[in-house]
Amino acid sequence: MRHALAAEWTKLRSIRSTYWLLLAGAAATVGLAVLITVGLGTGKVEVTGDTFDAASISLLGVWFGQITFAVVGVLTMTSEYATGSIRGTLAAVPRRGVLLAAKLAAIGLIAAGIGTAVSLVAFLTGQAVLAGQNRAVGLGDPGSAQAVLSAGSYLTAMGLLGVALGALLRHTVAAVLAILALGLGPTLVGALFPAWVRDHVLYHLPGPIGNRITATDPPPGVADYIALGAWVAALALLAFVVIRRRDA
Amino acid sequence: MIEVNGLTKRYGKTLAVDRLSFRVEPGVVTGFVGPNGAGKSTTMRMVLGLDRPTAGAATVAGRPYRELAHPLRQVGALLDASAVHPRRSAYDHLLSLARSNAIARGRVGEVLETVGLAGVAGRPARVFSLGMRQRLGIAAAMLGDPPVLLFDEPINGLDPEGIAWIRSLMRAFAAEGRTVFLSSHLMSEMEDTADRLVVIGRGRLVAETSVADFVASGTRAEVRVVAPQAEALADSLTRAGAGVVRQDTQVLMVSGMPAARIGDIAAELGLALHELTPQRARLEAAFMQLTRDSVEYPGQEVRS
Repeated sequence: MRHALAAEWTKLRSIRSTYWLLLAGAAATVGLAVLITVGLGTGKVEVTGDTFDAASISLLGVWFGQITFAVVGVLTMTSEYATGSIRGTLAAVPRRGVLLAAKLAAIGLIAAGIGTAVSLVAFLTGQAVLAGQNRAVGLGDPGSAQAVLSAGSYLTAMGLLGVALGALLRHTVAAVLAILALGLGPTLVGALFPAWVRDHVLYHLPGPIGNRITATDPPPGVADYIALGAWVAALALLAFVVIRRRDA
Repeated sequence: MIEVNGLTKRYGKTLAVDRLSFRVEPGVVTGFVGPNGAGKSTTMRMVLGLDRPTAGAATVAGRPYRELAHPLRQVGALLDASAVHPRRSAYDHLLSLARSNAIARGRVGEVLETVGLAGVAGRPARVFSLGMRQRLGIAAAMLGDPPVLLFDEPINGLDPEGIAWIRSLMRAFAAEGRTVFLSSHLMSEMEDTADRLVVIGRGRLVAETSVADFVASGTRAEVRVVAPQAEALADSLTRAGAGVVRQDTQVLMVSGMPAARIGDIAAELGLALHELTPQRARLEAAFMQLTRDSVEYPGQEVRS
C-alpha cells in the first residue's frame, strides 16, 4: 500500500493539469469570497434571510472550488482508462483494492491539505474585506474555525467522490457530470422540484450537506458530517466491489 | 515459467479462449502465434490478472499473478505500447511504475539508457513515435529485472532496425535464462526469433512444439536438384524410394530423401550435379496449414 501510494503521488505530481486544476480551484474559491464580500459593501450583492453569517459568506467560493477538486479526483481514474494505462497500472499493482485505496489516499491527502489551506485563505480574505464594513468575524469566534475545517473536509469529500465515481463510470465526462449533479445540482435546479423532493432527497445530497456544514448559524449538526462520510464510504465501497470484479 | 491450465474466457456467446493449456519454459524464446482474433491478447491479459478467466487458471512462477507481491520484479509485460499518459514524461512514467514495486529510482535511468531513450527521458510520451513508445514499453517491462517477460505483438509498427533490435533483445533475454513469451499474428516474425511455438486458433491450442518440428510437421521436406542428365537421375532416385517431380528439363524436386543421399546416388552413377538445395519449408506455409481450420474469418479466394 505504501508503494502504491508513492506511485500515485508520482503520477499526480508529474501531470501539469493537476497543478492547473488545483490553482484554478484555489483562485475560484478565494476570488469568489472577494467578489461577494466587496459586492456586499457596494450593495451589489444582498443577503437573503434574516441572519448575516459572515463565516459562511466568505466560504461561498467553495461552491465553485469543489468543481476542480472533484475533477482532479475523477481524472486519477478516468485518465487511466482513457489512455489504456490502467492495464500497466494493474499489472504493477494487481490487487485492485490496494490500487483504489492508494488513489483515494493520494487524492484525500492533497485535497485535505490544499482544500483546508484554500478555505482558510478564503475566510481570511473575505473577513478582511468585511472588516471594512464592520461585520467581520475572527477565526476565534464561535463556529468560524469549524466552518473553515468543514469547507476543507467538503472539498476533500468531493475529491474522494470523484475518484469513486471515476472508478465506477470510467469515462471522464460521465463521472464529472455525476459528481456535479451531486455537488451543484441541488443548488442549481433544486427550486424546480416539489418541496417533498427537496426536503427528503436533495437535502441529503453532498452539495446541500456542504452548505450546512460551512455555516455557523444555525451551527451544523453531527448528522450532516456522518451523512457526508457515508456518501464517501458508500461510493468508495461500491467502486471497490465493481473494480475487483470487472476486467481491465 | 508460465503455466496455463484449461484457461477459458467467454464473452457472452463468444468463446474467446477455449480450454487452453500450455507451458512456457525459461531459457528459450517461445512464440505465441495465431491469426488475428485467435485469443492471444485475451490469454496474455488473463496471465497478467487483468481479465478474469471464466474457467481454468494461469500461473507465473507457480502462483496466480494477482498474488505476486511485487509483480514487476517477477514479470515484465508489454501489452499496448501506446497505453501511456500522453502528458507524462517517459522518466516519470517509469518512476511511478518503479515506486509501485519498490524498485530503486536509479533503475529508471538504466532501462532508459538500455532502450536508447535516455536523451528524451524528460519529454512527454505524446511526442514519441510508435517505435519510441515501443521502446518505452520495453523499458517498463525490464524495470524490475524480471525472470519472466511477456510481449504482445512487440514488432508491430517497427522499422527494420527496430525489429532487429527487438529480436536480439529477446534472444539475449532467453540466453540469460529468462522466460520469454511473445505473441504475433505473423508466423514469419517467429522464424528467426523463437525456439518454441505455442500456436492457437479460435482460442484453442493448435500446436505446442519447437520451431523445427513445427516446420517439419506442416510441410514435406523437398530437395531441389539441378542435373544435366536429369532423366537418368530421376529414374535412379525413384527406384531408391524417393518421390520425384520433374519441373524442367534439368530441374527435379525430390521428396522423401535427404540431400546427402541424393548426392551419393548421383556420385555412384557418375552423374554431374549443378545444384543440390534442401528447400526450407516456409514457416508461414506450415502455419497456414495448421490453422486453416481454426481461422475465424477466412478470406475468400480471389479469382480473376
